Amino acid sequence: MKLTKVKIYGFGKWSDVEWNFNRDYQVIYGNNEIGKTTLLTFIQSILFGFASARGDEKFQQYKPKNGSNYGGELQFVDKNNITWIVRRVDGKNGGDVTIYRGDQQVPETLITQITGGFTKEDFVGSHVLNDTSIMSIYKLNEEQLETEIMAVGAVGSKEWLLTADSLEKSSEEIYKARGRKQPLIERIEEHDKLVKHKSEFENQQVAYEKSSKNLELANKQYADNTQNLKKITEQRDELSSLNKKWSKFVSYRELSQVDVSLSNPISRNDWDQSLQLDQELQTLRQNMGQVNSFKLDDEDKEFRDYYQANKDDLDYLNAQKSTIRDLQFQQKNLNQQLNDNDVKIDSLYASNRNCDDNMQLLTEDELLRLNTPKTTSDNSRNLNWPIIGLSLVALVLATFMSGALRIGAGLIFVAGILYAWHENQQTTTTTMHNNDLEFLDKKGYKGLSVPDIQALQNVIRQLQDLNAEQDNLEKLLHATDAKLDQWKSQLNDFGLLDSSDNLSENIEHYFSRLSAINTKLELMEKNNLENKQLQQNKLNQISDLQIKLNNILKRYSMRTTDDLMRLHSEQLQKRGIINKLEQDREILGDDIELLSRFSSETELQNKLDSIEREFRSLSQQNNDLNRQIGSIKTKREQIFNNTEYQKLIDDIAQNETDMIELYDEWLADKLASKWIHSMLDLATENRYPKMLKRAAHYFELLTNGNYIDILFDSNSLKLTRRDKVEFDVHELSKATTVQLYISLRLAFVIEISDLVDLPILIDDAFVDFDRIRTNSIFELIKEVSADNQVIYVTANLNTELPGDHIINLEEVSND
Amino acid sequence: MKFIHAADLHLDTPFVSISNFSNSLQEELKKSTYTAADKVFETAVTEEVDFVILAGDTYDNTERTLSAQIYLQGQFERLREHGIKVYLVYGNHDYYRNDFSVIKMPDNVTIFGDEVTTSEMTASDGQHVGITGFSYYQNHISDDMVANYSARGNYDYQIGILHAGIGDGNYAPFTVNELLTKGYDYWALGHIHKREILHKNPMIIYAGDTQGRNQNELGTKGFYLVNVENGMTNTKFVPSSIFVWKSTGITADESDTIDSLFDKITDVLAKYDETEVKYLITLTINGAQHLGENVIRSIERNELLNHFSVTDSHTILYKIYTKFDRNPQLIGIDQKYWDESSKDIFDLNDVKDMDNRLFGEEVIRQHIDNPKFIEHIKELTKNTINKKYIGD
Repeated sequence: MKLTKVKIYGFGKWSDVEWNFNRDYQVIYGNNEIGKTTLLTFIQSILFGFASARGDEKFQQYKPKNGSNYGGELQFVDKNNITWIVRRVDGKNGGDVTIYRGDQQVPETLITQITGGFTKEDFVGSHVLNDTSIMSIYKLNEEQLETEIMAVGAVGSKEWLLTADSLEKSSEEIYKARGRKQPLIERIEEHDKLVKHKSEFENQQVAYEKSSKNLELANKQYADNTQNLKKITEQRDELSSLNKKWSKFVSYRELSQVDVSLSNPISRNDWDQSLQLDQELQTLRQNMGQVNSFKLDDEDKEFRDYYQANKDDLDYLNAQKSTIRDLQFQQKNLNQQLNDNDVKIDSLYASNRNCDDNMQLLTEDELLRLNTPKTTSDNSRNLNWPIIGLSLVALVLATFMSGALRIGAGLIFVAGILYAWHENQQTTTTTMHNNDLEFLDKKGYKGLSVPDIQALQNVIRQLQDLNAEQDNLEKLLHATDAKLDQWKSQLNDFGLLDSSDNLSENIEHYFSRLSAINTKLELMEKNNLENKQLQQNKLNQISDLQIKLNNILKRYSMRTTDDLMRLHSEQLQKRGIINKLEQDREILGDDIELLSRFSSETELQNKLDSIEREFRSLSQQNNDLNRQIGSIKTKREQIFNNTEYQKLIDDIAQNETDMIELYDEWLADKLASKWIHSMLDLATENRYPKMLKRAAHYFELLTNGNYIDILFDSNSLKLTRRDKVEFDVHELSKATTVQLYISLRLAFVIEISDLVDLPILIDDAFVDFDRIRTNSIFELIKEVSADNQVIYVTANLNTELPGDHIINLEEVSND
Repeated sequence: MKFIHAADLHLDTPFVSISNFSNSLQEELKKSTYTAADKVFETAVTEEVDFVILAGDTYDNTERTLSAQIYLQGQFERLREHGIKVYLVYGNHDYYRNDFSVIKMPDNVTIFGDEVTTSEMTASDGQHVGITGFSYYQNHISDDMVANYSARGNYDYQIGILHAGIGDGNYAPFTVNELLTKGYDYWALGHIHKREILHKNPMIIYAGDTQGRNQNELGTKGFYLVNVENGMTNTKFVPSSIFVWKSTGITADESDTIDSLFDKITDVLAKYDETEVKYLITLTINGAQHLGENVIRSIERNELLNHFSVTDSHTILYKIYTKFDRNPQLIGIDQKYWDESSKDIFDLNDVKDMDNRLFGEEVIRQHIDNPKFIEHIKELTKNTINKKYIGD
């Protein structure tokens, strides 16, 4: 619709004014503060309502200050030349509106027939070009522009565009190019990490193979090592054994230095024989020594020699033996007789106690005198009690004891009794006294009784006889004794006296001894003769043996048996050494050769030590390898453990699923948005691209062909200069920017003019164009106004403009 | 003669989005590829087959397979004890690389090399069998490998093992006709996880994988037990998956609350309670636009899902999707504009060019390269628009 008349009742400084507008374009001229902007605001206010009294809008209210009616009318003419009047006066909610179509008042909702459904904001955004809206050029983006143009293009398109916008935002919540925190991006990053982690996983098969190879290698090493160890162990054992044998070896070696050669070894036979011979010889010789001839012992010899020397005398003596025996017998008899007589005497004395040696035989007279014999018998008999006691004791002993003691005791008893009795008798005898007669005293009978004396006379007589006989006997005895003494002296001279007093016995003894000695001697001599025979035999034997022995000795160039012995013992010693060597060799065996490789025990020890070290090292290696094998096996077991890997695989699978789901969601959002746009594009007959094309044309026109194209590149405008160089909107000069803005705006409005046919309101207060640019813009306005009415308020008039298209506000106000 | 044709065991496949499940369930899931493999080898023994064919991708990857190798070694050894041979090729997942396969397999196992070769064997019924195949030695093979397969040899029965995508240039491309020209009796295919009989007489079969590995691998998985008798080849599918992925849905209306949705879902899950297997349900709530904003937010916060994850139900609710349908009255803009503009919007190259950084991600690139990607993303975008629009 074309705005054909503006009638103001009261609005700002304007009251009760009206202007008719050209249908193509209308230039409104006036200096600053004349009310140009107020006029433009009036048009908007009538169409879309008065500004409210609240906030910043109140400055847009333009309530008249002179108290006239607030509001006014706009008159439009539609395509069918029908006049529409929109009247708005003071009222609630932007004022009271009255609309007339032709002469008919119509419902105020039909205002959309004029506004095309535009809101005030829409209108201001698209149709009003002033110093405020110019700034939006810098914020202008495709989406906004598209939304605006789409919004005009299709019913509900704005909602759709909002939906698309929301989808776009929703997509950006999932993913945004160059975004960082959106879930899809997080998933992608997570995926990279998981895949990287997976790549860090050792390839299981490779690891298994590697592990198997390692195991094989380790097993082989172990086997080799074990082999070596075995060898070394053997060596060690050998060396250790050698080491133990070293001392033996040393002694062996020393021994083996000794000369053990036997030039002429004594044969066993010879040796045995020589020994036997020697032994026999020794025995023989010994026997020879032992069998020295028997001899009489010195005593016997002397005895015999003496005899030989005095043979005649001694034989004489022997011949006189019976004579001597007779003499001896005679002597014995004499002594016997003497003894018997003594016994008789003693017996006489014993039976006549009073008898005394001094008593002499009384003469006859004297005997007479003694007729009256007076006898005083002093019969004091004293028993010898000790003897009797002893005898009693002996009796007791004889009774109770036995053997010799008994006999002894018996004898003592008898003797004791006899003695006691005898003593008693004597005592009785001796006690007779004849103290009467003097002669008696003289004759020794003092104290004796006459009877006794008388009695004694016989005794004395007997005694005298006896004594006489005794004397004879004694004389005889003396002669005999003398003879015997003579013999005795002879015997003594020849030393024949011995212990026995019996001289004849002495002779007998002597000759008996002699005879014994002679017998002995004879035996001896016989023996000696035999011995001598034997000795001779032995000597012969010795000689034989000696010859044999000498032969043997000669065989070994030995002089004596001792030499042979020495030789033998030497040889024996050597043989011992040889035996020892053999033994040692047997013990040492092959080790000898091995041992002799070592110059010293130290070398052997060193070698052993080194082997020992090697052994330890190998043992250690073996242990290490064993452990290694164990560890490889464990590791290989672990390779089978897929838990972590499987979890990773699960995580990756999950992650990829999530990624795809998010991608699908994102893509669906994106495509939905795109689809909506595309659909709207179609529905709006591609206004947007057409508009862009038109804008480019306008821009080229305004810039005198300096810029040939406008395009959007990621939400910012890019301008192509004639020389194809592209510029960003921010790189343009202020004037060019305004030119661009005007181009886009005009193109937009023209593009939707079939839907929204409202005048374009341009307030060039912001424009500081030079003349050329001003001309260009008027040229464009003229072109554009063919399709859409333009109302242009300016303080700069172009003289080329036709006057009928100019309203000079100065004139009006001057009215 | 009997044999087993199995493929894509994918041992050690990771399972995603299961962290809310109980530990034992997680473990069961992680072990499920092995459980399925157990079933394969167990069947081989009980059915007294002559041999087992593993047509590639036995391992999910070749990077860390020792435990899988040890497992297979044990199983193969068991098969050996039963006089059962194994014919194995490596696929694109477990393509042969240096250092891979360090565990020595028993001598009943034939592993094909990178050149096409034919292995011979005599089955228990005396049939002379030729088995032809090759292994992947790289991730992708664009050559026409089938061309290298020799023409039918002098065998009673000849089998071709082929790990390939039908018409898929990355994975030894082939056509059914090309296979037919070889004159083989049986083609044991691997690579495609959805089992399919491409041709009968002769048989050309994708055994599919033995255990569904994600929500896209729907349905019961298993392998084929093949019986050749009197020149007739009879195949029998043997299920081996102990977890079966299933996609199902409920429809929401304005009156629905979280509680009522819970009841609806419970009813749906109850239908899948089975003793043999466990179902993993991906559930779509259709008509989500009817739901109140709070209900939708609650669903988006996984409140429903978490509610089920703590419930000790036999059937497992894996994921919940909301499907928002377009309400033409609300849209207000002619459908033709949408349709017309969609051609430009869902352009694969434009999508690839949208963000270099994202396209630089291998994972995303592969995702984009999925043939169904555009279709998938278009559905998603529509859902997004529908949801967004009603949300405002």
